[in-house]
Amino acid sequence: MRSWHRFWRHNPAFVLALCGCLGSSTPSVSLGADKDATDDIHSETQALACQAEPGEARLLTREEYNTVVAELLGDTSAPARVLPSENKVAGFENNASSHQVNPNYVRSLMELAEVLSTRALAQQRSHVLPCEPGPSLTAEQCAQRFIETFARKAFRGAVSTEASAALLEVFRAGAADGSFDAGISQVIEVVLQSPNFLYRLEGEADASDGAARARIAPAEMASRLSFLLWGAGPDDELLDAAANGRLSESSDIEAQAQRMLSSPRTRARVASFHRQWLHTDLLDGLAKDAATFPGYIPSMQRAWRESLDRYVDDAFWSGGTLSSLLSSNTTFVDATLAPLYNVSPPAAGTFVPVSLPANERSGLLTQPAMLSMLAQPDQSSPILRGVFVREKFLCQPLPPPPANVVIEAPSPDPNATTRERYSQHSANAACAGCHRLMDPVGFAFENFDGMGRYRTTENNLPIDASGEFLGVNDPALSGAFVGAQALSSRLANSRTVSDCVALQWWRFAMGRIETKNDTCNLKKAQDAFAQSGGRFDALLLAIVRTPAFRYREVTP
Amino acid sequence: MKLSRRRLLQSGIASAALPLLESTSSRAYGQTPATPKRLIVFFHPNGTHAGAWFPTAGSTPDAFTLNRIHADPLAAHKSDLVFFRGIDMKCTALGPGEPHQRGMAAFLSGRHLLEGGFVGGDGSLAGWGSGITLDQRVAQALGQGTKFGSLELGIRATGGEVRHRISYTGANQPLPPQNDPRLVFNSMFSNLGTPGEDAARLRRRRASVLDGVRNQFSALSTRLSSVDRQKLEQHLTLVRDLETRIAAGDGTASAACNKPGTPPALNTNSEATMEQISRLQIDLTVMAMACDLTRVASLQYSNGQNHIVFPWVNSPMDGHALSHVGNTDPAREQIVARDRWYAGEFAYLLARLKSIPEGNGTMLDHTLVLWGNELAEGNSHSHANMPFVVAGRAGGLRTGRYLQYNGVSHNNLLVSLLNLLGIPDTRFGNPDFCTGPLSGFA
Repeated sequence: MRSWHRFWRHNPAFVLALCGCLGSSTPSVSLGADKDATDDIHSETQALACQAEPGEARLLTREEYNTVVAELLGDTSAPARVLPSENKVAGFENNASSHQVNPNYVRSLMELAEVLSTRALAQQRSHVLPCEPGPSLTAEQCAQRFIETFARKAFRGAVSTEASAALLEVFRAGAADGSFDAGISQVIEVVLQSPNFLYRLEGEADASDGAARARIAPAEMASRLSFLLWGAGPDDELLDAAANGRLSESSDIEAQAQRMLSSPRTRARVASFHRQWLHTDLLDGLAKDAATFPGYIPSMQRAWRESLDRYVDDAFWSGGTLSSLLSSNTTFVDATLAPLYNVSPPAAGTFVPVSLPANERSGLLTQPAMLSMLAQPDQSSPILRGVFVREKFLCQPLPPPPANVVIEAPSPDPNATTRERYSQHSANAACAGCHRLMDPVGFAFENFDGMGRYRTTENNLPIDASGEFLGVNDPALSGAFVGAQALSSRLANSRTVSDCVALQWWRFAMGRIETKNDTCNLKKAQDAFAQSGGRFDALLLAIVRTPAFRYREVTP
Repeated sequence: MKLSRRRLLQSGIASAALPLLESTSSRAYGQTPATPKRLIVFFHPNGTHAGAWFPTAGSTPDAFTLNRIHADPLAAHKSDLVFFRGIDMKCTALGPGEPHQRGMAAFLSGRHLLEGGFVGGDGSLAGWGSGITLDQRVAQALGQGTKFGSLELGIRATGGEVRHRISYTGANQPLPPQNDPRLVFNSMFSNLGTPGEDAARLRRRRASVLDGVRNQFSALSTRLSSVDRQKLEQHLTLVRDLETRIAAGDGTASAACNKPGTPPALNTNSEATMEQISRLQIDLTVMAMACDLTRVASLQYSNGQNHIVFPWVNSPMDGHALSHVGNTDPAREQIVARDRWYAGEFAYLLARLKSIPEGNGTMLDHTLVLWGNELAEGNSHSHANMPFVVAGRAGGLRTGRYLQYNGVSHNNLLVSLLNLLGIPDTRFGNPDFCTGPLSGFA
């Protein structure tokens, strides 16, 4: 297993350390436009100052499985919901070492494959089969053709002779029971449970001369690109480019990445990243107290999720920068949400964009869905909001609470504001050390109640939404501010935040928590992101350009 | 929304009283003559209210009085229970993480967490648990020949990080719970009672397909790193294991083993369905064991984050916030109310096990049920004086006792449970926190 960087565990000032900025003395070398015309790995190796990591086999997540079988079998029913849920790291489902099979998982994969193969042959025959047995084509000949196209697509590249032959044997064994269909369905089932399908594997035999580093092979690069940007296997254009030597040069790789970024298929992947980064799954099963919030109805959970998905999509694709994500005052409402936020309801079953008052709202963190998610059933929550910003936007983990001390949350009080009730945290020395990091951030959101509605008073007392970022060394974040818009504006101008967001994408892209070897690569991506003015497309292309994305360390 | 008895019965799970056909029924299972032993783990989160949990002791261990949480729901089962005072999860003293993270892994593993990148409830960092858990150790020993080695079921046990997992097949190998009874049913029971010829055909077909899958592993031409070779080797081992279990079959209906009704499609993450799903999951567990389709199961309620509400016991607070109310706060009665509900579910589980005759007694006589938590007390995050309860008499355990200790490590309890189930391990979890079986218990 990878060893975890212990800087923060043993450094008393670790709360000031920034997860995404572990410090590196390695000088960065620009790969830029100096493309090597030859395939000389040694000279390239010398030019690279950043190290790579060994590739790690990555099991398809349920979401990826769904996208893949939709293309492969025409099955759009999202069937992977029957599989066990993923083990997640830092919110991400696609962590290479933690997302893994287990005994019941393997059984579920078998049962799922059976259902999918039966359904595919019954309902999507022409999508799945390139031929039918007939006067000019024997069953076995047609099966052979099916195997060639299906396996190539499913295994995301060239299929070995041995694998192909083995699949033909599967067909024969199945067809011996009587039918062409029986043979084909068994082939489909085997393919859907095969390692080449379930895992993205890297390591085609190419590491020669005892080199410590190997370039990611074209077919593997095709998958790296397609899973990063589409959460799916490579399309035909990528597979062809890989097979015809047009996915080795940096320029080719970058051109493909650009093409893919412009494809509508990237929208779903971007939405998925945000769902995981911002743990919006917490909106499912969210409870709101009927006494405190008589207007609440359970269908709002789904409405909030949809609203947030649309907000992110709009900010990411129309604005395209971190700043737009943190500053837009558009929100999306349906007929159930509209009355909550004082806007006219649209027709039932539709979502429309509306502008919320610019003096009230600014950006993702003021979206009603986020504020409702980061709240208690019967009140707001400066703690949940403060910790969220610290963790997800500053990448600053906080230390554990003191052991064996009663940690008491202040109860609702009709004669005090939330801020006043939480004042115990700053008064008590045992609490203040950590709570000074969370509370002053969370208090800035106090103009929003537990359903994300704007308010200027609480219990008829005026709300004080002043806030401050303590314990962070970033000029953009220093000094007090008032309110969530000001907070969002600070975040949008902060290099700490920009680096943190880049780190989140890094973790998602690479399927791991950053390692020591990642530091140099990550810095390149963070620098590019910042220098581009926070453009997400620049960040993604920068990640694709890093040595860690292009190479893997070869372990003996 | 109160759940009426009629709605429960309409949920489709048969739970009829059964005739006493002991000797014939055990042969109809297709079991070996010796009745299998079983383990069920029952988990609820965020500690309890000690003043309402621990019994009042009498002059002897068997002369105790149940406290407010257990008195009503478990009155009929008092003689089947063993309560404890003074057992600590000492192994949580080591390693990273905040107390919820530590406790979730320590409960069944007796070990601390690895270093890692998870952020805990307060933001602190930790990795996964560092060892195999009790249930999986038992599955290794007792579950080789059953359709399922073990069953991990959840009731609103959402989430995917270290605060959300109690079961591990090894270090860094957490097992997720399945919250949807419908999916549990499909996998466990859909082929139960399939006519012999059809069942045999399905087995042959599956064996053939899995054979084909294994050949794809062999056909891999990719030169993989040693980490990846190991990963795929582990997967292949699971495929081989599945092939063996396919041969074990899908169970045979008998007096005690009936195919349950198909559970309805339900929202599996809502307070509106939690009661119903709890009963469904318990019924599926018991029937799966009655059919000898598994001998190990865990029922995980919620998780270490515990952001759930209990309107049917008038507890509208967020569960985690509730666990942090002060020691004299009247809201603690909500903790009591929730735990009393959990006690009621525990009682239902025991009642179901006792309703199935087996050998010279009932299923409960050959089963151990361990009820645990990741904390002793929510507001202090303490791991001392843990609220553990054991039920059942597998291995001849004497029940109906309240045992008091003075700060003994819970690893010893885990060893005792293994030994009662016929597994002769002398240590479990971190050996630095384990001196052997729990004295005076078994």
